[in-house]
Amino acid sequence: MQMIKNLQTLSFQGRLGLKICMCIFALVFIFSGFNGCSKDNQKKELVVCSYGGSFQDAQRKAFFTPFEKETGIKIVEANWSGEYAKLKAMVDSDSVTWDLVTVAEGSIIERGIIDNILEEINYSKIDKSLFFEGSLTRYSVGFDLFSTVMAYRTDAFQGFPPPQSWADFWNVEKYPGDRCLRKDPRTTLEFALLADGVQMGSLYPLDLDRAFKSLDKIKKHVKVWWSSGHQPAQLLASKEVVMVSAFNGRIWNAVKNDNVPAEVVWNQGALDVDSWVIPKGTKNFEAAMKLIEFTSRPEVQKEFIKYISYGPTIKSTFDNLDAKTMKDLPTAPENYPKQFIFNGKWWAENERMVEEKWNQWLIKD
Amino acid sequence: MHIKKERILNSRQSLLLLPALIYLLVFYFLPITNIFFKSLSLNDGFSLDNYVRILNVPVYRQVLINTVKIAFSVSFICLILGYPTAYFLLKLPKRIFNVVIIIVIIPFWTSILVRSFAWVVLLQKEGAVNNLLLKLDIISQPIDILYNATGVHLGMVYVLLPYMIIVLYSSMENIDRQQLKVAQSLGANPVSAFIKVFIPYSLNGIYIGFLFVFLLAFGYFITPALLGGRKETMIAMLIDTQMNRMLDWGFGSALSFFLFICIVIILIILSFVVDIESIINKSQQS
Repeated sequence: MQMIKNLQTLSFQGRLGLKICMCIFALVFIFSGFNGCSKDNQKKELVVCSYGGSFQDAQRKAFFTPFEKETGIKIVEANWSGEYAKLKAMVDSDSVTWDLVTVAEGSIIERGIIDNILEEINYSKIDKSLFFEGSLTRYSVGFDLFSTVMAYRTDAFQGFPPPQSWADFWNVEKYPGDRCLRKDPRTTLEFALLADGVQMGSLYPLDLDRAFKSLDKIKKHVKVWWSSGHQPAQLLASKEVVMVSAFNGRIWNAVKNDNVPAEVVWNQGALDVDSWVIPKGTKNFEAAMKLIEFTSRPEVQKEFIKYISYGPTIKSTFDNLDAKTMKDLPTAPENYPKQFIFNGKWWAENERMVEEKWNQWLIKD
Repeated sequence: MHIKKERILNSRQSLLLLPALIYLLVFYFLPITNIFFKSLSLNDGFSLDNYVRILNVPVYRQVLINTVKIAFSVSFICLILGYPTAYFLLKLPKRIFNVVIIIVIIPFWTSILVRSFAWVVLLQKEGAVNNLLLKLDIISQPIDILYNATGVHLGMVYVLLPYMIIVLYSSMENIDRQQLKVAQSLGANPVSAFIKVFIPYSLNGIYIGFLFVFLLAFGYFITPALLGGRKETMIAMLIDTQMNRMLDWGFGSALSFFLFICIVIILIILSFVVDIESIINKSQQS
């Protein structure tokens, strides 16, 4: 009897405690809901998506923080690695959560235009003539020019003249050691053709058979295939490999901030542009345009160069730069002519077919 | 006591299954059917083109075989390592057991991405493992244990071993240890008592543990992506490429459904090799 009475008291208390807990949870949910859904917040907040790492750090320091100070619009950051499917799914299902997106591959922009998922840029406040050729399209505004280049550890080839071309990268007798290439046919196929002797001017349309034959020669010396921008620099730093293909800015960062003994080779690099696109259906078009206009100012682009060595898209930025900074930029007059321009349009048209051949080639011995 | 439990549910008790069944229907069977139909469509209209592509193009076959090989060897290693550990856990006094079981379970609380990445740091050329082996003079040159099959196996076994240990332990816990004593009093030495009495009773746990780990390993993505080389590409990675980058959802769905069917086939084959029913009955009689 006593036990049953105890049990009953227990359960009543237990239920009271449970009720109190549930009330608290409900209140927490209601209040957090208020904060998220207020209309004011939507106007004063801009969701910007980019590739993370030292690249996004540089964007934050040069673009986002000064922009917030000047306009009062808060920037909320998001991440992606170029998964086009995410962008398309967002627009197709009318649940666009990104207002402004950094796109590093021209082929993504081309596909976005074909699939009609990008907003047209309002160029009324932007002077197109100030930009380098190829930086702008109707649906995208470029804010930096970067290169995919060869990089190597400076302490790896003592006493030898350093590698200067993709043919050198392929030359394992002269430059022994493990290599790292991108786990993606884009730029890797071009480099394979260049190593085989094709001239930069006659790369496109790509001779796929020749590229894969050339890649066969280097296959067993490629220890790692990188899929994320930070990997090549990290592998050089940990001495896992001696030569890589990489985005030039990430290597520069590793050298400057982490003292990695590495050097970039501009010869035969692949130039491409980082652009802003606005997904169709965003509710923050004006704020997004404001940020685009902000990053199209020469002084803002100059600030960006401080944090990562990607070239500006505004020509006049070069006017006041010192020689030391210039030599690290892909678009500096001494570096620009050595490279070729990555053909996003060819890739947008041929990606699917090439991807399957690439997967096939990658797997077999 | 040999009591066979009544396994027939009356209709009111079966109603208790309803919430779980509805949940499974909505969140499991419906999406799978959805994927199946997506995989059949290719530019309006039904076609089996996607499946033909999977069977014809050699790369998908190769990746599937790789996946089965890796999943199988990882499960096997987990079994070899997990069985003695589970048996050891049985014999521990309660206090020490509590500590050890927490050590086994703590890795579950850490994100798998963090754990896999930690292995990269450990196994690289100038990582902790190589440095230790060099210092102890066991090797004279750093060894290649990353971005190849070794790295993948180390990482995957590390992640999946706790599952195996827990499944084996719970099945071993239910084995009546009196049977071992009986065997010994009848003249068997401890070793053959173990082999002829204990192990057969634990077969149920072995089967379930192996299956569980195998199924998990089959669909693994992050660990082989971070720790493996190009020859350790597993099918989940291909599906990811199709869905996220190539945007060919029809083909990605076909690959996913193909994976699903392969697993079902493997389960059916295994159920013939190991007669489940009799194992369950046997272990219940103990």
